[in-house]
Amino acid sequence: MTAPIVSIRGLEKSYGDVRALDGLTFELEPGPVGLLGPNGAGKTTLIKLLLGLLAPDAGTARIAGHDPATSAGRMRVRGSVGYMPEGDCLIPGTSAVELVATLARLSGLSRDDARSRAHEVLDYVGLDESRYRDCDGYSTGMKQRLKLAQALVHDPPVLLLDEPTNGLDPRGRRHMLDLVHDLGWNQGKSLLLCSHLLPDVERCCRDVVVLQKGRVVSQGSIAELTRTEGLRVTVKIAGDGAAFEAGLAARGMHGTMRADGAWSVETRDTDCDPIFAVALERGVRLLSVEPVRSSLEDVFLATFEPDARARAHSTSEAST
Amino acid sequence: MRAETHTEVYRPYTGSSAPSRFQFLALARSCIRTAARRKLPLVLLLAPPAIATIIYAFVVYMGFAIEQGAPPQALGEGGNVLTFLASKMVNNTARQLIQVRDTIVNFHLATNVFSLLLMAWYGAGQIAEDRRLGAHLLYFARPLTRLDYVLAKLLTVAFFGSLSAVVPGLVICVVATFASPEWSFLKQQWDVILATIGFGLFSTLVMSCVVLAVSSLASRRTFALIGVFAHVMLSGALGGILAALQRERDFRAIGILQSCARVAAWMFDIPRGFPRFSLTLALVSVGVTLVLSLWIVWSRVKRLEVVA
Repeated sequence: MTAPIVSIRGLEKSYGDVRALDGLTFELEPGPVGLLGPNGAGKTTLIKLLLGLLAPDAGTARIAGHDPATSAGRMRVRGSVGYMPEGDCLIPGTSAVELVATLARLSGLSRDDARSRAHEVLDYVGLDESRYRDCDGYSTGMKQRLKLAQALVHDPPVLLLDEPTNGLDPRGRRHMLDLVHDLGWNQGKSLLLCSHLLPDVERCCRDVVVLQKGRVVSQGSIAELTRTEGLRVTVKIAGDGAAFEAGLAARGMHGTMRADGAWSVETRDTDCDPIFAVALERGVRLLSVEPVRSSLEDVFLATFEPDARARAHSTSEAST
Repeated sequence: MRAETHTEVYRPYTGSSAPSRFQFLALARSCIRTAARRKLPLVLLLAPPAIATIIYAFVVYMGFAIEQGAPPQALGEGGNVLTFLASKMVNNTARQLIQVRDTIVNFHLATNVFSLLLMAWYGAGQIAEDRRLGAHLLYFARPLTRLDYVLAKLLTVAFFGSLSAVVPGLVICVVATFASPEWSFLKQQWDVILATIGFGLFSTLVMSCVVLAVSSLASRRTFALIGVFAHVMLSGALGGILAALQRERDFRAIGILQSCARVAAWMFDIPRGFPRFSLTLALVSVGVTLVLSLWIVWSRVKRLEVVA
């Protein structure tokens, strides 16, 4: 079994009366992991605790085998972790090359290595000639790429990415997600992608941890979490809808007609044979039968708003 | 055809990385470069000390030239009335300022506000803006210690301060060395050079700490700039008012600039013509300011590095 890259036991952190983390306990295997949760769930607090930028009230956290609560451990953590903060946090009057090279120097690279490495990572994130300009005039997309570059410059095995697609246009978002996906799946980086954008996490990560009010409410691989019991399909028919619905009910299935005229059918079986049988029995012609996959959004909504699950189903089916 | 300059392929770093003991130098270098990019304020703020340096260096040169009995070349050859009057005037000035040590202390007194302005201008945002923009997250996400951060910021402010507090004094000393007959300045008054460096560094250190302390307390650069001048001016005014009301000169030690001037008079061994109040009180005042400022900076930076 692989050693966990992040190990957290009973972690607690409060800001005055507000409890940001409430006895958080989980372990993460190496690989791309998404950290999901609504605003105020404690995602950023957790990342800062892992970096030693915050001190916990109680509990322990280990990342890459080091304890960020101790002074020596903090230094080791910061040497082996790349952090991409959520805010702008860039220094006005500095060019991208200078900033990344300086931060590389602070990570322990020699002056020559820092300079060449800065160019390599800026190449990778796609900041071309603009790297020589002051970052004051950068667009949001360029700033996000620059922040990713500085997190990568010392080639850390672990990356903590806090909302990397914040404020990006669709093209910039796609580019950023491509980079994050590449780092997690092809370059062997263990990354903790903190986001409230579920499609981002679904696209880039293998596992996911869902936080709510400082507690873990769901954890596992995305494949497992989005697996549904039985089958849910969207069916388009021509013929008597009432007879079709009665036939479904007679075979223990549940069918509802949506506003667009298509039927949403849930069955406990793993294939569509019973639906074909009902259509044959009731003389209904099937125009199309499409299985509906549960998305991470469904899981998220089901976790936080059980009543919203039905809404999410109908939305995802409509889009199908 | 468009030339491709990059491939967007991730290349793992194959070199070694070990944080150096002198990481603060890398950060200080970056901070100085970033600050010095704004050329106009640098030129405007350095102009008064530069002009003062030229004037005081000229006075020293004249003093030595007249002491040797030769009409200074800068006033032209020949014995016309104009040259005579000019050399008479310079002679009078030179009598007052023939001592290079007096000249350097006078220089410091004349330009200390400009030094403070330079340090405040470039130092006020050093910590305040890092915190406002969140740049400290980038720094402290690296193996950078609190001490490195404080030293880097202190070095940055001190660098700009030394441009107007140490370098001009050394220029005057160099002029005095070359203008004095048979290197007499170097042989007989070498302690002035040490005092120049010592006092320049001392005043720069004290004022840098004050600037950084205010910067660490302020939420933005402008507030820090106002805070630095408010602190210096108010402490000076309070000391002056109390001294006048109580008819006790020792109250002037409350003013940080006045205390520095008193320390300068002591370091350069100037017997008269400069602030005359208790040296002990001046040293205590400066010491308390220094310790308090460093404590503020340290505790505020601690909150930047790890929020308890």
